[in-house]
Amino acid sequence: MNKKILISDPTLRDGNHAVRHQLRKNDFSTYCKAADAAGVPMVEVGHGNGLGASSMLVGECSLSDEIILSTARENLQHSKLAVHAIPGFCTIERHMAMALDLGVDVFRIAAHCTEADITDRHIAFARKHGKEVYGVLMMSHMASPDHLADEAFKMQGYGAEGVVIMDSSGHYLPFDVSERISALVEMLSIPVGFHAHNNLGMGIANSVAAVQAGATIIDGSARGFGAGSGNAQLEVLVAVFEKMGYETGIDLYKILDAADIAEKEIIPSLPYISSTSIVSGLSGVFSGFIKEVNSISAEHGVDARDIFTELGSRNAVAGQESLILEVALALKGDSSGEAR
Amino acid sequence: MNINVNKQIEEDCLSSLKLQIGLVEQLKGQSITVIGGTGFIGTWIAELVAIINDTFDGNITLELLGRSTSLWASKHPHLCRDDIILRVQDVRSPFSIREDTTLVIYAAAIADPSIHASDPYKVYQTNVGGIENALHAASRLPRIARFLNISSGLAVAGSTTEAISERNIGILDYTRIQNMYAQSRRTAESLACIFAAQFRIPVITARAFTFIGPYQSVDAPWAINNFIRDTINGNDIRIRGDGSTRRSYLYGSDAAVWLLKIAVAGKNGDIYNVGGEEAISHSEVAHALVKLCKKKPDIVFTGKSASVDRKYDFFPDLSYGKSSLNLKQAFNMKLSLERSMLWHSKNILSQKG
Amino acid sequence: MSNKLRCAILGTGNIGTDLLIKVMRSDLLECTLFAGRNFRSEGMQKAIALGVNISDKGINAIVDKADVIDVVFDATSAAAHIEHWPVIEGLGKIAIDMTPAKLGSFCVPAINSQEICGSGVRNINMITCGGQASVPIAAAIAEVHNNIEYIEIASSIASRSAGPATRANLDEYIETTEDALIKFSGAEKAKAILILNPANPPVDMQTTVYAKIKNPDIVKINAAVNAMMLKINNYVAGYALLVPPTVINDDIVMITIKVLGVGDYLPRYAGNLDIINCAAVGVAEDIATNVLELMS
Repeated sequence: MNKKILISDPTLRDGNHAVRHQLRKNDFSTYCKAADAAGVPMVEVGHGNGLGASSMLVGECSLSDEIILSTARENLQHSKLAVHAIPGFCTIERHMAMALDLGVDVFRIAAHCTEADITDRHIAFARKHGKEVYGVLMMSHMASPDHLADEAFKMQGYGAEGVVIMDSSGHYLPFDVSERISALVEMLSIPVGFHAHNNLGMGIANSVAAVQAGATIIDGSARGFGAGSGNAQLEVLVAVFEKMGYETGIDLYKILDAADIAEKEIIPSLPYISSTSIVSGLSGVFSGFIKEVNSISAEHGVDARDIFTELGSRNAVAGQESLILEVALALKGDSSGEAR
Repeated sequence: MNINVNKQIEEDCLSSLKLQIGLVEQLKGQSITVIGGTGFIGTWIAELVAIINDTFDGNITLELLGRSTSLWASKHPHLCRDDIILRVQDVRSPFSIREDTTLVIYAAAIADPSIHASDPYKVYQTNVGGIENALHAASRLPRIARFLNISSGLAVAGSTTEAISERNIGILDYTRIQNMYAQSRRTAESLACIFAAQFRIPVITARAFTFIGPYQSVDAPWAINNFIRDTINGNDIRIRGDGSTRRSYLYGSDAAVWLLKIAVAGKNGDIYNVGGEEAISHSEVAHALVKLCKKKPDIVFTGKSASVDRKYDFFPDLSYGKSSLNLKQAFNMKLSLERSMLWHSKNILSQKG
Repeated sequence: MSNKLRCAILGTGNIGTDLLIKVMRSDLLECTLFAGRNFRSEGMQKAIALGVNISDKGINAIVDKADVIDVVFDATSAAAHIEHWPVIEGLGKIAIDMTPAKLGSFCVPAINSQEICGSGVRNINMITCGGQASVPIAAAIAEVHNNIEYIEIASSIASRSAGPATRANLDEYIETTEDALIKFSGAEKAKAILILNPANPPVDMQTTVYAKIKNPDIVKINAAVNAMMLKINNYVAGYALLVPPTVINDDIVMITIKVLGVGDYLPRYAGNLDIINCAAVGVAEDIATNVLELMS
């Protein structure tokens, strides 16, 4: 039985969601140094929605991709530098080629869980240039285990070296995770991974369930710093996996130090499970919507929880932030006469 | 194109031909149509025809049907000759074949796994609809001596560590989309049976395993091409899994020669495996490639699924082809790799220079 | 009868087939040739049922029938159009390019159809579906403000309306749309985002335009957008405002548009395919009108 787990650390990518993509240059250099020292194998950095995603739609980044990547690259000697990239937001020529030039080691090409076939050329590009590349399926609760396995299989066909499924809305219970991870493990001949969100307090439990079902790649953020209620808490994962007898290659004390540093210097407020995020988790709406929903809710006097429930029933997917205002206005009963 | 590269191909063709005694005689005067002729096999067959005609007075005519022929023509100017005709034809649309054709070879199926993933319907249309159109066209030929369906060993392969025999039927869960390609090959073979039985045309099947050699793109989505590409680009050779999966490889000139031999001398209704003899793991291939390079790339294993160790070895049992048609490989694995690498590096040089 | 502009359609996929039906409905256009590569394709079968001249010889059919063709709609692919254009140009015909090949002049009928017709340009590029939806709005804003810092459009289309060709060409879609946005709005920078939404029942095409402008004059912008919408509605009946021009964060104007298709060949939710076709037919009809005027 494979006792090794590859931990991928998106503190500086998913965490950017929590601060509306305003992480500063110092944040990147400080945390990268600490993660590198702790032996974290893979450090993922960037705008919350990945390469090229800085936009009005999902929020403008305080720093350009170029600055983020070069800062991170300078401060990672042993850890691999990874980026998240969603075709439709980022292009090969304008974004991926730049990332390649700046020394990115790992590309994680992501699509909504039913749309894997948009990732063909982007995965092929990374492979062509000899880089490590994974396929990522987002909002994975929106597909059945079999369908998810079919989509993952496509990514394997395109050349992905592993497929990670994300619980982007923090919707899963452990059994949901085991079901899906098992389906992928059965279908694929490449490693399978899991990325948790903590909206229903299941970050760690779900990650453990994933590993027990055969996942060998797990995402975790320092103090859980990430969208919504945050991700699986990285240093807790390391401790738990160590206790379970798995090798992560990460030094426990040093990752605890890194998390302390993150708490002290880069995380403005620690993730917690708010009332809104419980509702968004239950309705299966992307965690990254929370800040926007809260702000629109405040502005228009509409209950954020109602907005989430309605977004859930409309099967809103990541990138549909413009739907939030539409839903809020509709709930408010706003008839300005021009919207039809 | 580089004269040296052509010389290599010529030598390779003659080496393979030499081992199939009598084949040249059997090919003389034939009128061959290769459907999907601008691909790997079609191009090697064109090379063979050119050499046989020039060296042995073969008097063979060859027509290549492809979806687009202008690119092929510009890549192979030495093959643009009077005895090789190019024609644009999308196989999904009904078409006719030159009336005096004696050998029809269907080589148009889509084998690219990326396309299987992204456009399975097109794969079905081409692999099934395309061969249906080809069989119809062939059934109207007064002098047809053989219709050769180049099928795939994947039609009957399953999870195995054994050499795959022609007699494998194999269980296929056709309800899963992943199996659509294998299913399309099975359906195509069935169609060929129907035309043999009802339309009384002489049909024969070749099941292709893995081919290697010049005229294959380094960007083609198969492991060995990726390894070659990684090596040429100076990158690490990245192997998915633990590298133990085994394949065998048949060199282009051998593959084309075997297919022609099967077409002229095989038994109607029979199935023949076409592939390399030596089963060799991805890991061994990678090591062999490293030996061929001056700058030694690293070999990186990118990890495998935690599932029960299913094996998807893919190599043929060649006993039938050997005993009935005396099929022989001129190029073993080592030579095939060397010749392929030589061609790819010359190609890149001539592109840069 | 033969005053109609004679159109050939190259490419018998969804775009080409939907175009065929629109051309046949037009008083100013007629389809003299529907050419592709595959007689067995759904589009070809539809054309046969409609009694249209068909061919599976692709661009060669255009050459053969050049004497009954004035305009060629190229609904194949960018790569194919690059091969087709020299041939079409050599025949002296006009190409209306439905692909993101970007060989010709960008055309958004509501903005520059007359200019294109008058200029004698022979390769008319219809940009992209998102471009047809958003560029006129960007241009309307630009009428009010000539110093737009940044324009962004985010389109969401039903997953079912995006076939393998769309999915394999997201990058081309993005780049072509961004180029057109900059050209028609004068913005310093532009960004285009495309999202496929798998919701069932399928969602209608929706595009949100964001414009970053110092001190936006929302009243004037509203007026300009409304005026532009009237022009667009001339050729795209299902184009409507979902969220009117709204200022967010002081210097960002946000507008959301929905496009409902006519349902000629594809279901109505595929407004993305419909809008680019309506626009193409729109400019073809303007060409036809111009020709008639010249002749009269």
